[in-house]
Amino acid sequence: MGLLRFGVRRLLLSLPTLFGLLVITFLLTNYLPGDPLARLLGDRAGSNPQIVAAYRAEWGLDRPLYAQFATYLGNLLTGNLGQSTLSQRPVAEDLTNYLPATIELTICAITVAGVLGLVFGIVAALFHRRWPDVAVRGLALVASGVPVFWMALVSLQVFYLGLGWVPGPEGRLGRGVEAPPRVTGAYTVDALLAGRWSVFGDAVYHLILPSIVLGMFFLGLLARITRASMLEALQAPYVVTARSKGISGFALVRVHVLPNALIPTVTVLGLAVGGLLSGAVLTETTFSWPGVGRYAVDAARALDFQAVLGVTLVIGTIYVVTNAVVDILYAALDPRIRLGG
Amino acid sequence: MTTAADTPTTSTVPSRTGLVLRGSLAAVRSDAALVIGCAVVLAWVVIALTVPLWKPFDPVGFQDLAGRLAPPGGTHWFGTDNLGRDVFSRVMYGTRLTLPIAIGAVTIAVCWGCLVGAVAGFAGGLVDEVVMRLSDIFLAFPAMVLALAIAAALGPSGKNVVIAIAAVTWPEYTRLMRGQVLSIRNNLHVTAAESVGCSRSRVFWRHVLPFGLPPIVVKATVDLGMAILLAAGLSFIGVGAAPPAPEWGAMVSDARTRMDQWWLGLFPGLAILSIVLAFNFIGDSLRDRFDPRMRTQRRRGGSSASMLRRLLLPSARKADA
Repeated sequence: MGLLRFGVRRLLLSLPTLFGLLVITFLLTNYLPGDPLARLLGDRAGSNPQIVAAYRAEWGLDRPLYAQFATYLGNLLTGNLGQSTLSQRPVAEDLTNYLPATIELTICAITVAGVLGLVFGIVAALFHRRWPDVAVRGLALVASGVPVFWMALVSLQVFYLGLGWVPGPEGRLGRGVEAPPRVTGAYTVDALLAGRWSVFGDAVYHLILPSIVLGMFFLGLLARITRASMLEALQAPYVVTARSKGISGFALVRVHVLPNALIPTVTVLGLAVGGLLSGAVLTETTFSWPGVGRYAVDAARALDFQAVLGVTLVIGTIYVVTNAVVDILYAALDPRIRLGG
Repeated sequence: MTTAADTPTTSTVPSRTGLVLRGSLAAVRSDAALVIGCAVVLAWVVIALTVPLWKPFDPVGFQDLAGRLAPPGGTHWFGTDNLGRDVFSRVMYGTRLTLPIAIGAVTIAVCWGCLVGAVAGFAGGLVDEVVMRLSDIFLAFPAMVLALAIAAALGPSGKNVVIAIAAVTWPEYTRLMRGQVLSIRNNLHVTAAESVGCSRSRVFWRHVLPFGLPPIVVKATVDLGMAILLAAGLSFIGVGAAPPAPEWGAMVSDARTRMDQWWLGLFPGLAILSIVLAFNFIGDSLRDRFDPRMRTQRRRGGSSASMLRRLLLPSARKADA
């Protein structure tokens, strides 16, 4: 099967999933027993049937479910995700405000954890069963079981309160630092575009700790996969051949081992995105990071179901699409996947 | 004296349970990770069962406002919180919330997931297709996000956390069980059972399920740890067990506003870490025990990535197939 056909088929396969995702979230927020109105209107207004009826009519809650869903789908096609009862703004507007912060944080986390994870995994494999290997395996082990919200707290206590190396949980910029004019919504990029180096520095300064904390589980996972993959490649016949021809050291690793060892690591990227988006919900709350994770938490607590629906939809979509892209990337790197498919 | 000696059938052809038991005993002898994991879990279970008998202080009722926010010391081993409650007692009592939630959620997910998966595997055709697409959809959410939506909608309580976690984990068991049924039902011994007229349910319970169970047991063990992480995370963001209850995630959440008092968050977090790692240890060892094929793959290395991919990523399975 050609790569193009594989890619198109893989992307098409995610369409029904995306639609189902929409149906599930919609049903979920409509059928579950928590009543958003009762909480929103308070006890007195919530017990007055007239006010409740008027409110339901205003928000279209009195119509049959399928009609509400049809309206929702129609609105969706025009980019309308409904109104947030919590922020009193359109959900789409809230999401455009908060999403860049999450994406910036997630990309930083993937980058930092990706580089460190690869390096740690390679080092561990090259020093198989010696202390660097043991240290990396220990780190990977802890990373697999540590609650990310707890690590956020402890790391703040150590690196902010104790050592003073990083800023406290004050969001994306320090107090008194003005946000750069919005182009992409990512402060680092916008600051560079505006040529404001001090703002760029401050944004990076605020990104460091949340990125590392958020990426920790991915770092552990990647280090473990890279290590295993390297160990296999180091024993492969072509490496033995290369060795017997006298190639050794850095050249051996770079030319013969790494290219083959790195292919499987691509696959964990898809897993990583799911984990990072889950982690973002917990990490953003601790670091007062104004992203969709914290928005989702606030919305869920206030039973603001349009907002929850919007966030779930966006996060689900990002996840489904990333997984499709990762699969295609994997097929591009490893032709065996395509031939088998 | 004679009975033990003249039962050669049992010694030459040991029962299935006998095999598993013997395997487990051998595992305990040779596998340090399994021993450590079991010891830690056992310790927490004992604490959960017996803590009311020896508790130093009442986890909720004891409030010594004069001695609030005291650092760890002789009387209060883990210090006291902002209401003067004993952190050590609260951490110990936390097990009584966390363990039942995790066990309950995983039990529901395993039973429901396996039932649906077995039905899909046996029925095939349209039923199979519908079940698989449905599980695809549930797996298309990052677990925490869907659990958050469900728990928030149901309202904060331990029971609802159980439901939320079970709801996000069942599809993985469905896929696993379906795969097991599909691969085992064509085995010779199943065909033999069917040809002598065994009913479908008998075939499933006696001839398919016992052979399909190992990977499910392994996954369930690891998932106990994951369920604890999820439950603590939900409490941390305020949609889990209600506030005065000594829940580990909620305790870490309280500690956020008092970062100077490091003992408030440190100990509940260590409790979570210890029990999650313990379940991971047990799960990894069991995987090696039950499936030597996977072990050699893991030893050789590289294939662990594709194994992991296939285990965890539904889309990968589809693309690989």
